[in-house]
Amino acid sequence: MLSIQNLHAQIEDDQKMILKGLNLEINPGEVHAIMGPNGAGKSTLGNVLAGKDGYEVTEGSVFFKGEDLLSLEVEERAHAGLFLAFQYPVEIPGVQMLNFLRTCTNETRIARGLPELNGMEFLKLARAKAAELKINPDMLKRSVNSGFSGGEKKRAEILQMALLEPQFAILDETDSGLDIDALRIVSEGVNALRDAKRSFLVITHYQRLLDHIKPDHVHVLADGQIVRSGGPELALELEERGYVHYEKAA
Amino acid sequence: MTSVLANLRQDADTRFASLGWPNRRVEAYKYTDLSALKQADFGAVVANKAHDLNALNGIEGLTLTTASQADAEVQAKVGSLLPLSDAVAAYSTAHMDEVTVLHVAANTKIEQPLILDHHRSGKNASFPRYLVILERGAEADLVERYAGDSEGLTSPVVEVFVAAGAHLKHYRALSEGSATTHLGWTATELDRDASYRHVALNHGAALARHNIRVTLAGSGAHVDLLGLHLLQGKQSCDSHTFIKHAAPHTTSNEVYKSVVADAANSIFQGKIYVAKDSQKIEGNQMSRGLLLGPRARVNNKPELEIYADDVICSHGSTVGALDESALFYLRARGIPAAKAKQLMVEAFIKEVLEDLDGVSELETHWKPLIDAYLSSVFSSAPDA
Repeated sequence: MLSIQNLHAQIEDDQKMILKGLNLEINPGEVHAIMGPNGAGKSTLGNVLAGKDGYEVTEGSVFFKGEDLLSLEVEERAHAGLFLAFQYPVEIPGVQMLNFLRTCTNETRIARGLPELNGMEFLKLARAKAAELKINPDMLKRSVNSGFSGGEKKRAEILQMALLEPQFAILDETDSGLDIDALRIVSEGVNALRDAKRSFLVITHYQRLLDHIKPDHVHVLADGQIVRSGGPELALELEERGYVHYEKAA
Repeated sequence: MTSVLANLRQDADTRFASLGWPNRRVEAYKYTDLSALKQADFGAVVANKAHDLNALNGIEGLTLTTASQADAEVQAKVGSLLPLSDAVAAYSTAHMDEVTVLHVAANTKIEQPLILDHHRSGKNASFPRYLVILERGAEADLVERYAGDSEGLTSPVVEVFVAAGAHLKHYRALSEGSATTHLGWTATELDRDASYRHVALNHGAALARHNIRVTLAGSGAHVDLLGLHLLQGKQSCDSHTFIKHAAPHTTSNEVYKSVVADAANSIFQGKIYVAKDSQKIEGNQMSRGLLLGPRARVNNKPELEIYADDVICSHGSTVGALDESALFYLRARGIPAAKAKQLMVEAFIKEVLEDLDGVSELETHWKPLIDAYLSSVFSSAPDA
């Protein structure tokens, strides 16, 4: 599904190298967790995979379903089935949530050769998916993420994921800013989408999210490289001992 | 033409002869230099009236006439709101022919919009001139449109009197071609408890200057001035507004938004003036510019001039490009870049248009102009 080889990436402006030879293989149906100290490059990895401006890949390659991911535009990556749930979903005043959701769903359907959904069909679908995530339908009338609480923003991310039906989703610190109830709802939303063909990359600083979304593999990212890989037990060990052994100075 | 009008015209001609076309040293024209018009040849003066004026005949409560046919009281209003110290006002007045008068009777509500539709081509100059009077308690909607592909000059003047308790909504759309020079004036006076809403769409012309002057002359009067600039190519458009709170307990609200592509130039200058004894007034102004390319320009100049001490006034002005993080967010959800930008521009201009739901002029004439602008801007230069 996703094959990352020797990935080196730096921030364009100050040419500071963030990823320094990262390797990762994710097969269909697998859930991988990436943990690591602040500044290790976790969010950079998500941004580089999604195609955000401001990063330069200097070495290495990323293949998604056999295709060179890095040569695709941001929206083409989404159409191909990649989804990034943002750590900080962006507020867009004036763009109505429902209109946004319908536009992204239909643009993605067009790109995948599926017929567009009309207003009524889409409204029905969006309401049903929103109800599963315990999202107040009034939220659909508001501007994208504007004035949403932390929990509402994260639930809205999962709603978008449910509508776009990606094959590979990156959850970037989806647990940050969530109380325990919201964490449960969001996790249930993610778990409902797990199947044999869909893969996830869960980026998190804390183990608690992994109590709800059980990973198959856990990796430690430190100073731009994966320095250790293991099963779910590795997350528990990190929770106990912290990242102190993986800090840059070590 | 009666002697009153002939004298006004002569007076304006004399004033313009001494003023000349203003250059940048004239403060009001700091960002719009008209001195090059000295050499301009606009061709012959042609029809100065809207076509289809006949459609206004027979509307109950409306008297359609000319200033020459009107009584002395109406004639005296012509030019009375217009400062001839302004070169454009003087130039247009010096060339005025007949003045079309739209007179709405007291306590009459006219349902159908009063449409002044102008459409011209060829190399020529036109000086449409109107006097609009709403008597006490009257209500009407006024629509002004300027379209066509003239290579000349359009220089209209509309003077509006809104009497006590009367309400006028005024929609003005400029969509003339890229070779037209447009120099327009709107001057309005509001009496006690009157309201006036002026909404302007500035989308056309090579060089456009629109002066708006609103005098709140009676207690309880309220004005909304809303405007959009949608510019591209080498267009330059200057909206110059002046709101005078000449009576206590008056309120004003002003929002101008500019979307500027290519090498276009948008100018907004807005002054709120509060006279010495105009206490308990509120005036709010906001101007925002959105730059769609590195060569686009926005000059916003808000001004407050306040001589009373018990007032609430605010002004704000911002200029910027599209928010990159919002653009990335939309694209990461599968929305192509051009469409994502279009969504964001639509969101940006919505504040000016959102109260206009159900206004037929917006649906039938403005929406197609706005859509044409957006598709032209975002299809020709997707990466701009």
